[in-house]
Amino acid sequence: MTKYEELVAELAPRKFNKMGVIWTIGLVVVVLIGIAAYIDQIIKGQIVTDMRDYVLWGVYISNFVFFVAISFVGSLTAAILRLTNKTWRTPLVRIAEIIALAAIIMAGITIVLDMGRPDRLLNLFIHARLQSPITWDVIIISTYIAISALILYFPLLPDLAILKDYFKDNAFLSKWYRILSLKWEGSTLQWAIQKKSIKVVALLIIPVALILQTVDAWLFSTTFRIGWDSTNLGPYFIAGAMVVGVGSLISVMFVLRKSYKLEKYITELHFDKMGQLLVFACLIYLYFNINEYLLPAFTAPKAEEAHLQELFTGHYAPMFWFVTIGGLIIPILVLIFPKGRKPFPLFIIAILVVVTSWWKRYLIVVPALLHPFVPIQGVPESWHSYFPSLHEWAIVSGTLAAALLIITILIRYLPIIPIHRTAKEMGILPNEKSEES
Amino acid sequence: MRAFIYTILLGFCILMLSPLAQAKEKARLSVDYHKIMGENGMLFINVKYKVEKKYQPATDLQLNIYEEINEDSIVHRGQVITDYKGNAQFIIKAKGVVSDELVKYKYLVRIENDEVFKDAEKSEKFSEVNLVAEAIEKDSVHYISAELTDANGNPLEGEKLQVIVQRLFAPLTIGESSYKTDEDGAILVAVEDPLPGIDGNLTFEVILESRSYGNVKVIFDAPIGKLITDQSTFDKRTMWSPPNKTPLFLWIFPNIVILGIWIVIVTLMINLFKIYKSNKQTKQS
Amino acid sequence: MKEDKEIPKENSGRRKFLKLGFLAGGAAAMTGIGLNALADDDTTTGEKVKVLTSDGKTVLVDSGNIENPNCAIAPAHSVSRAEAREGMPGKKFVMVVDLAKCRNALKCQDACNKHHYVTGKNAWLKVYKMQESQETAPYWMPMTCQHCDQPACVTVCPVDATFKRRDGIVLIDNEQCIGCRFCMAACPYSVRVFNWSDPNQGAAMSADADHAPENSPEHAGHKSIKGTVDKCDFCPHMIRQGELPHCVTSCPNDVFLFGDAYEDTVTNGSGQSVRLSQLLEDKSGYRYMEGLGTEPSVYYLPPVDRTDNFEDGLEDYNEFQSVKP
Repeated sequence: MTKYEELVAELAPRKFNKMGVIWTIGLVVVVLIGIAAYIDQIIKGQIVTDMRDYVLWGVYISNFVFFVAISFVGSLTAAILRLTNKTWRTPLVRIAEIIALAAIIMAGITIVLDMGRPDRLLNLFIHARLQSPITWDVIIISTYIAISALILYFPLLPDLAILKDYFKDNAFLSKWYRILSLKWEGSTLQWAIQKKSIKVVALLIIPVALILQTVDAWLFSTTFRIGWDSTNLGPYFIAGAMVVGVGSLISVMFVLRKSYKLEKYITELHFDKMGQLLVFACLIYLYFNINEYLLPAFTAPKAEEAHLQELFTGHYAPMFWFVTIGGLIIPILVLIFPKGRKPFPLFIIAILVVVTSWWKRYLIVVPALLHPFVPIQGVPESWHSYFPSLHEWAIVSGTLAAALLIITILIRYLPIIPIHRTAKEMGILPNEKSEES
Repeated sequence: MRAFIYTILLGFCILMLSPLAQAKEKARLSVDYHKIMGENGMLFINVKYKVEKKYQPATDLQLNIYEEINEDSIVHRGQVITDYKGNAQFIIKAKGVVSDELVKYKYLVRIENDEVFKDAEKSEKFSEVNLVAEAIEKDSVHYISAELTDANGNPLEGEKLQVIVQRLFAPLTIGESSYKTDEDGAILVAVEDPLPGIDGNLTFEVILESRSYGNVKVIFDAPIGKLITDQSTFDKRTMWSPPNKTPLFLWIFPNIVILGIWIVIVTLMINLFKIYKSNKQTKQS
Repeated sequence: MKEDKEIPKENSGRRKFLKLGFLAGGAAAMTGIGLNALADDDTTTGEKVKVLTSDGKTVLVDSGNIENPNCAIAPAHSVSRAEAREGMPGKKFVMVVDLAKCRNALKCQDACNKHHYVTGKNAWLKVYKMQESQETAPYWMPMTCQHCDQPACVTVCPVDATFKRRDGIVLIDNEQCIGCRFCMAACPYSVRVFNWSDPNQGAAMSADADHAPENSPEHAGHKSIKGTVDKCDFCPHMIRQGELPHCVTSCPNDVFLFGDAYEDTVTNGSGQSVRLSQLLEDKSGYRYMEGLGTEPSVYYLPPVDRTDNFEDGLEDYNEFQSVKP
C-alpha cells in the first residue's frame, strides 16, 4: 500500500465498535425520553415545567443560549484558522464545523420547545415584526444554519469523492458518497470554484457569527431587567461563546483521538495550541465578567445590589462560585502552564469549562427574573423560586443527546480529519496535480 | 275520630299550599317624569323587589299606564314591559292645549293582575315648563345663560338649576352644584377655562330637578371648547407599531444586510451546482 | 286615589343622569347591534336621534330605544377583529388611582377576576403592599396594566399578537400569540400573566349569564387560551356600553377614576366626574417608574391625608394569593 492508501485507510470512517453502538443507543434512548416528555408538555401545557409568571424563562432558554454559544466554534476555528492558512489546524476544522452545525440546528429546535403555542410557529414568518429581537434571532439562526452547512460541505467534497472509491465494495455507501460528492473529479474548474467558495464562506461566517452572538445577547439586554439591561452583554456573550466553543472542541477532539487512535494526526501540539486558545478566551471572558459583576457593586443601586448579593452570598452563591472558579479561574491557572495543556489535563479542564458554561447561562437567565421591579406578591410561595422539573430535565437532556447524536452520526459517515488536505500537506497525493495552495 | 283526622290533614294541606297561592312578591315602583326640551316627555319607571335583603330588578313585568283626567276618571294610556334591569319608559305625547291655568298632569303606573307581583300603583304629578339655554360671551368670558318659565311663559323664580357638560362616562358640573333662578327665572354661569371637545364643540345641559315639574333638561351645543389634538402614534412608524408600519431604518438597513448575506449564500449554493455540472465538461488529464 | 308612599328621590342629580347613562347603555346593549332592528317595538316614537358609535361615527336611532339619546355608544357584541385592533378613534383612555383612599378591600381584584373569568393563580389587578424603605411609610398600591404609550411589551412581540390602539389601550390577540413570553420578560410592571395550562373557564363562564358570546381581544379572558398571555384590558367591552371598567365601579372607596384624557375628565365608581388636569395638579399626580420612559396611562395620587389606616388593610392581605378559588 502506498502511503496515500495507508492514510485513506486510517482516516476513512469506520464501523462503530461495541462502545460506539452502546453510545449511540444510549443517546437515542435519551432523545426518545425527551420526546415523550415534550409530548406530555404539549398535552398538559407548560405547567409541567417549574416556570411560572415570574421565572417565565428557565432551562429551555438557558439551554438555547448554550447551544448558540457553542456554535461559535464553527466560525472561530474553521474560519479564522482557515483564513490564516495555518496547517496545524487541518485535523481540527472538520470536528469544529460538525460541532457548530449540530449546535445551531439544536438551537433552532430548542427554542421551539419553549413556545407555548408551537402550532403557531409559522406566525413568526407570516406576522413577523422587524422591531422584535426575536425576529432578528430567527433570521440570524436560519442564516447561520445555512452558512455552517456550507462551510462543512465545500471542503468535504474532495473527501467524499475519495470515500466513494474507498468504499466501492459497499454498494450503499459508495452510491451515497458519489451522490453527495456532486460528481467531484478534482478538475481545475471544480477546484477553482471550491477554493473561491471556501474563502467567501469563511469570510462571511465571521460577521454572521458575531451578529448571532450579539442578537442572542440582545434578547436580554433589550429589556429593563436588572442583570439583563447591560451595555456589556453583546461582547460578553461573544467572549463566552469563544470559551465554550473551544472547550467543546477540545472535549470532542480528545474523545475522538482516543476512540479512533488518531494520535498521529491530532498531536500534543494541537492540544497545546488549543489550550493556549482556551486560556486566551478565558482571560477575555474574565475581563467581561469583572465588568459585568464586580463593577455594579461599586455604586450598588438597590436593585443591582440585591441581584449581586443573591449571586455572591445568597441563594445562587454555590452555583455562581462553582461556575466562576471552576469555569474561569481554575482553567486560567492550569492552562497558563504548558504541563496543563497536555491532552489529558486539558481534556478535564475542557469538560469543566463546558459544564460550568451550561450553568453559567442558567445563572444569566434565572436570577434576574426573581428580581422584578415590582415586588413579587399575590402568587403562591412556590413561584418565588425555580428549579427545573423532571419534564424540563428530560427535554433538555433530550436536546443535548440529540446534539451529540447529530455529531455521532456525522462522525460515523464523514472523515473526521480532512483526507485530501492532509495528504496534500504530507505531500503524498497520488497524482501530484497542483492546485494553488 | 277519622273525620277529625281528615279535617286536620285537610287543614294542614291547605296551610301548606296556601303560601303558593299567596306568594306574590311585593314590588317597589318608582316613577319619574323626564323631559328633554324639544322632545316628548317620558315616564322613567323602575320596578324592583327584595330577595333576601337585596333588591333585584323585576324583569319582563307588564305595567299599565293611566292618566288621571280629573278626580274620578282615569284613561288607560298604554302598557310597557320592564327590561332585564327592571326599567321601562313610557312616552307622553305633548298636548296641544294651552290654558290660562297651569295644567297639572297626573299619571299612574300600575301592576295589575300579575302572577308574580301583588297589585301596586305609583303616581307621578308634574306640570309642563319651558327651559331654554344658550352659551353667550361677555367681555371675552363665556357664560351659560338659562331661563325657566312655566307653560304660559311666566318666569319661575327660586328653582335650582344645574349646568353640566356631557362627558363620556358621567357629566362634569360647571361652577356650583346648583344655581337658583332669579325673578326673571334666569341664571348666568361663567365657564372658565373651557374643557376640550370634539372639534371644539361642547354639549351642555341645564337641568331642573323638581317635585312639581319632574326632571327637565335642555341640551345644546356650543363651540366654545378647546380643540382636541390627537396624539396617538397609531398612524406613525414606531418601534411598537404593527409590521406594516415598521420604522424605515429598520426596513432598510437590516434588509440590505440580510439580502446581501443571502445573495452570497445562494451564490454559494449555485457554485455547488456548478461543481456538479462541470463534471460533464472537463476531462482529467 | 291614594298615592303610594313616595320613594325618596336620589340626592345627586349627577347620580341620576349617570344611571340614565347606564340605563341607556343597558338598553342599547339589550337591543344588541341591530339598533335598526326594532321596527316592531312598542316604544318607537318615530323620532330619530343621533348616537355616537364606537368608531366615532354618528348614526340615527329611534329615540324611543335610547334613554339618554345624546350620550350613548354602540355596544361591541360584534366588533370585528380589525376594529378591535384599531380601537375608538379620538379618545385616549387613562386611569387615576388615589393611593390616599386604598385600604386593600380587594373588591376591585374580585370584580376583575370574576368578569374576566380568571382561573389561574395570578390576578391581573394586584394590590401591592408597598414600602420604599424602612424609613418611609407603607401603603396599598393597586396596579393594573399601565397601557403605556411606549409599550415595551408591544415592541418586543415577534408576531404582532399584542398591539397598541388609537385609544391608547394595549390588547392581546390570543389567537395569534405564540407563547414566547418575551412581552412578559420586557414588562417592567410585571402585569402580564401566562396560561401555563388549560384555563378551564367553562364553569366560571357559564355561571355568569351576562357574558358576550364572542371571543374578542376587547374582552380579555373571554376566553383564555392555553399557552398564551393575558393581562388587564381596561375593559373596552364595558367602555363601548358607556360603562366604567369593573375595578372602578366595584371599589367601595372610589380609589379608581377612569376617563378620556382628550376630554380632560375622569369619573370614579360613584359616578362623580372631575377635571383630570385639575386633579393631577391639586393632588400632585405622578406615574410609576416614569424614568423608564414607558409613558404609562395610569396616574397615581400620592398617599397623603389617608382616609384609612394602612394596618386595616393587613386583614385582607395574603402575600401568596390574588385569585380566590
